[in-house]
Amino acid sequence: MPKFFSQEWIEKFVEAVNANEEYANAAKDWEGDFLFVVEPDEELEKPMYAYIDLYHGKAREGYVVEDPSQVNAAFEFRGKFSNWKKLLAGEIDPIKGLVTRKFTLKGNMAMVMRYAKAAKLLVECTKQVETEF
Amino acid sequence: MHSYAGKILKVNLSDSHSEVFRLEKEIAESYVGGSGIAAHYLFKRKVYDANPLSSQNVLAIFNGPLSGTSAPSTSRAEFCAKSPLTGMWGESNVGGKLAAYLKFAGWDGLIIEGAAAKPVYLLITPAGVEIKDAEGTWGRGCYEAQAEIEKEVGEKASISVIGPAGENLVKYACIQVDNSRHAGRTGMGAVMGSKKLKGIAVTFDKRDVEVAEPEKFEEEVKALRERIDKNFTCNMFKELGTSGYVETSEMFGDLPIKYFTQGIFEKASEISGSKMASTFLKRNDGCFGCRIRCGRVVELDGRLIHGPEYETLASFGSLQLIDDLESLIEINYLANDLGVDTISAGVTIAYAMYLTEKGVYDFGIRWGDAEAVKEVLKEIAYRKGRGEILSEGTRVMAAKIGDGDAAHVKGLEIPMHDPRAFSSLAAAYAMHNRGACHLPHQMYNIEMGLSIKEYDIKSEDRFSSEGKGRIAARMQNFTELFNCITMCAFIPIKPTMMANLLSYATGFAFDAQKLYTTGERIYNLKRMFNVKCGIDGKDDTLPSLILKPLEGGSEGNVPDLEMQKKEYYAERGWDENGIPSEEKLKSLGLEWVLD
Repeated sequence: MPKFFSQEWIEKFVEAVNANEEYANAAKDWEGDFLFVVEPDEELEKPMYAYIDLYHGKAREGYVVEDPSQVNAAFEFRGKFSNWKKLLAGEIDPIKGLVTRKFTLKGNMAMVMRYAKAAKLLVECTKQVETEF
Repeated sequence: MHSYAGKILKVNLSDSHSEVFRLEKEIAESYVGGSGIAAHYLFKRKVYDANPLSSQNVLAIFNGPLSGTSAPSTSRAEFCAKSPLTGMWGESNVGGKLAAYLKFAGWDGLIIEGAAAKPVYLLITPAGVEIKDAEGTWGRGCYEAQAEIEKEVGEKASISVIGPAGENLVKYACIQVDNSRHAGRTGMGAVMGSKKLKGIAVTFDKRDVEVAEPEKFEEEVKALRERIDKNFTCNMFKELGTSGYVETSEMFGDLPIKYFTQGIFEKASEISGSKMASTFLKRNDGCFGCRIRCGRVVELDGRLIHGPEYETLASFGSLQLIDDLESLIEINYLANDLGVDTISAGVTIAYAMYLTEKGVYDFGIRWGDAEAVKEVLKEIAYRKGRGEILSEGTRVMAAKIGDGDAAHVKGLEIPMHDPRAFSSLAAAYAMHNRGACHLPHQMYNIEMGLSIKEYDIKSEDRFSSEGKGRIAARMQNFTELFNCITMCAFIPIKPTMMANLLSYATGFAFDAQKLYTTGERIYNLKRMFNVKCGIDGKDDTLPSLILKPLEGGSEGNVPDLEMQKKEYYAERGWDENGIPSEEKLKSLGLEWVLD
């Protein structure tokens, strides 16, 4: 079982996104890459970073990031480790997570709000990936 | 008293007499300001017995103790009277400059009694009130009337006007404030119209509001500003306006579609704030002292005009299946110029479309017909043809036509949030003091995961009804203060922070518990006003139309209103008929309402 935010986990997530037709339709006009940030808390010592390039309903590329200053993504979505676990468990919706301040977003907000459904489907793709936290 | 002007100005339009009276310290501390002090005054005056469109009705306009201070988004004015739409407590909260300018002019509130023999407007200054001739502006649209009055009183004024709808006593006529903001709900514009009062202009000499503890107050203001600047929803409203919520609303099943009968609207993105930002938007616009500035200024046919917000885009858009943003901008401008509440007007017109399709009554208007909607709006404002019955709202329409699907609670049309998406909206709508009202409780935020720890308000399942009556009552008690302090409902303030701001401004010792009890007192006072109007538990209900399951984001959920109602009454200390108990009233210092 791949570890959360490992290279193997990210690759399996990219596969799951690319196999999801509903996501492909909801995000068919989306253009924008993401830096995802897992912030440390009681259960995590150091931050973790992942880069995913999303384009026209597909994930073109994804990899673990060691130095976030080397990545210039259009969007950055970050939250504490415990909240990421809740997100993947379906206890928090990505937009609800932003509204309730469990996650923060940098980037063009108009784009993200317009693709609220695609964001939800993107998170649902993680359910296709067995995850070890 | 600190942060209050300490004076209230009363004018009687029947005899042109005016007088000034002091705001008593005990009243200020117990009822704070805004609709709290207005409710105290109107109850004492037994306005509940008045015919809403007669000279016996009294219009009370109040600012709050924070209005005119450096606290952000606190220039909110409350227009209160007995509502011609619902026949019970009426109030409408509005931004712009009015509340702050009224404070700068030296007034905590205006009381307007009687009715003029011919059209007038009021000029409020630090010296008092002048009753001015308004025959030249009577009959004009709101925008033109604003400009005409401004020519007479100068640019440094806050101006509130009614349009033709208010003049013609349309039951859901609104009041336009400072060209861009509207006291929309419960028909306060018709109350002004019944008094032949076209407008109110307020001017002042100097900006001077003294708070009790300036240093502590400014520290708290700074902390609140930082909180606003970091808040996602505030930033979303700044960038996209309230309509930035349209797609998310549709995803959750919160967006009412085709007169509350459909759960999916594939054209949501076509009428959203995101679409507006990339097409018509020219700049933001905000109320006095606001950091969010959710107002939209759009360009249409070379004109810069105010654009629609979420409620209007939904009530004329998804609710009527109109998916053309340009048409919705035009409809919004027309509705504002005519002076109608866009929620009630949108729901009423959608009801006409629904009845036409159902074959119950042919209003000659079909889903998605934007051009016909513009014509109907004019007919409503001037009470012509089919506009005559539509101008009365959905409750009267249903009674006259003999249909059971009017979307209202106690006569107030349901706003653009659906209880099937967020269950606690059922209790919040059914038991609200002004009817189906989404503000300032905003239970959808609680159902999306926001919590108020001080009062144990939280929801872990948006579809569950268990515990929702309790949290709806608690949230109403807390948020009642927004309409009294007065503060915009969008401000993400914690109770302790609100209590500190109030304490440092006024010198009264507020904490989170006293704040809550004060909100509960004012809420129960308004309930007792409604009880005097004949309201009881039988009226605390929802139309069956919105208790039918839908596909889409609400996933077939239907809230259990009866369960929520029982919890709600128990939490409030009301009897099984929805009447506050004597014990509860006494515990809140409201024994005087029993006299």
